[in-house]
Amino acid sequence: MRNKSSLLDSVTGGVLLHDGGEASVYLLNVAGSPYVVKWYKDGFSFDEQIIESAYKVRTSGLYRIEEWGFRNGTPYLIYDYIDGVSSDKVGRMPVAVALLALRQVVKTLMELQKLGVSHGDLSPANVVFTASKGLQAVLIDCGIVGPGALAYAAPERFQGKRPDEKSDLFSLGLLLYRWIAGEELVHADGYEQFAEQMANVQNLNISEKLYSTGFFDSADGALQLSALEPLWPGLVRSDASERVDDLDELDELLEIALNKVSGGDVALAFCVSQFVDAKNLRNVALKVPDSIENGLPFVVQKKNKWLKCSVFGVLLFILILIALLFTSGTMSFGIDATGDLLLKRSRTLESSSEVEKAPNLKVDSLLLDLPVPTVK
Amino acid sequence: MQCRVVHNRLYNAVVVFVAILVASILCACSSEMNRGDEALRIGDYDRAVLNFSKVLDREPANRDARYGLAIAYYAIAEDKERLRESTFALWERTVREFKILSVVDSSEKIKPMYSTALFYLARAMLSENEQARVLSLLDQSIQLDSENYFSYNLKALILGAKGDVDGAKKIYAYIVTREPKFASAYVNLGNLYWNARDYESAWDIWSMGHEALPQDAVLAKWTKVAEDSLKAMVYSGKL
Repeated sequence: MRNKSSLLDSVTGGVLLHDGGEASVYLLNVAGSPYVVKWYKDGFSFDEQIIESAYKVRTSGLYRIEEWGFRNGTPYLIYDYIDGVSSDKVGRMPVAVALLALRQVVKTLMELQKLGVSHGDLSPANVVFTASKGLQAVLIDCGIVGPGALAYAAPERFQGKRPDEKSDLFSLGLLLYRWIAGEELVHADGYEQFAEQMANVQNLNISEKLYSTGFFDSADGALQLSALEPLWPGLVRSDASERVDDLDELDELLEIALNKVSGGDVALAFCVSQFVDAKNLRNVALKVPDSIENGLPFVVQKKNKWLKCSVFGVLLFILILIALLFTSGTMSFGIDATGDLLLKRSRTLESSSEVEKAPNLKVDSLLLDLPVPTVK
Repeated sequence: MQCRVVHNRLYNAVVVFVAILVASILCACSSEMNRGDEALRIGDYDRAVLNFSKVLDREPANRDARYGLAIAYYAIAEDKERLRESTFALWERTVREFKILSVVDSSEKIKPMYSTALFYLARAMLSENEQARVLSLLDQSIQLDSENYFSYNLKALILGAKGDVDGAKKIYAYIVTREPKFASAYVNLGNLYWNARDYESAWDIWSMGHEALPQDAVLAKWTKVAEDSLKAMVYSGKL
């Protein structure tokens, strides 16, 4: 976590990765390490509360947020660069691999849910596949303000409701369809049309649509469609109450479907390995830019070392001053020592005083015999 | 996070400001404390009172300044004591300051001097009025410092004068047992025996004191007087 200074001010290189409608995404070189900054455009931002929560979740299935804030009034978010391929770039996926990847996404969403956070923008572009431990689906871009990618947004999101577990479940259904069909389930032009289509999405016969793609006309294809059949009524429903209860329940359904289509762990591992190789996920390392190409949307502010040094100097001076005050023996030690000195002088025993007459003494004359402090 | 960066910079500035403020106050207090302490050490007690009072105006519960002021008053009163002038008001002021000090400092450190101030106050009261009731002051003094034999000695003198000779003797005996170099206790105990015409016991005590303190002229003189008297009594057949 950076809370002393901004990573933006340590950038030595940068390149534009993607210029979207919501934000521009840059790959940054910060002291030799790659980071990604999402630079939001006018009217777009993130939900800071969700980002704060997502920042606390440390799991391999979620991008690692490093810093967020505002620079010259523009919201931005910096996270670790993920060495992988966005799932919207991989085309159609084998059903078993898609189910495996979706289970990983569901597990990550469960972690977020523990902190009361829903993703709110589940789409192929926000899932990155890496070759870590075979295949790892990594979620990015939590906390969007707005309905997110329209082709994956739940109907209630078009009504302005905040994302929740149920809306994420709807998006997961459409995401799964996209992964195994290679195309989106709902096609529309513009916000209103998407809203209308999503409101009537349960009228679609998803198995029939999948069959019509031509990828499932074999015996294996029929088995896969059969295994997927229980998932659609639990996910792709306009009425949130008709969807599965929660992510746990979905995970159980996915596990059952995966067992039916995978042909065992070894076959699944082989299938995953083939997918990783085919999509070249092991060799996607991007060169960290050494220079700033085509400019960055922010100005790198070089740290004012003189100011920093002078602040430290003043603090050091004050510390030394305080230390000197306490060690110079002039405070409590001094006054106590002076007190001891005076007491010692006061208590010095001296000889009894001389009396002239015989010791037939009365009280008043006895008083003369009292010890008197010495002048020494 | 960038939004927190701003807070941290502001926080640093506040910390620096507070540190400078604290250091300035410490400097101001410390320089007056230093001056007061220095004045005390060289005997400029009035200036010491002035400087410690300045600190106390700002921090009435400053323990060091309270202690400094108390011992400055003590030193002023003790100076007057040597001149055999009336010191009652000075010791009263000193004891009052020690009483306040004991509220902000309950440690053992201040007790011996507080105890001695009470002894001096009792003695000053007796000088003003020999009938003054000072036993409670002396008991408080002894309670604060069980090794303050001056207070024991004065208490014994008062008890002896009131006719409680046995009580006085016990105290003197206690003093010479605990502090064999306390000359006044030998002298006063010997006096009690002498006045009771117990010359042998008086000689025993004085000679014991003379042996412990051979340089003490009073003990030497009265040991000799007692010895001569005893010899004369033996020669005359009275003993």
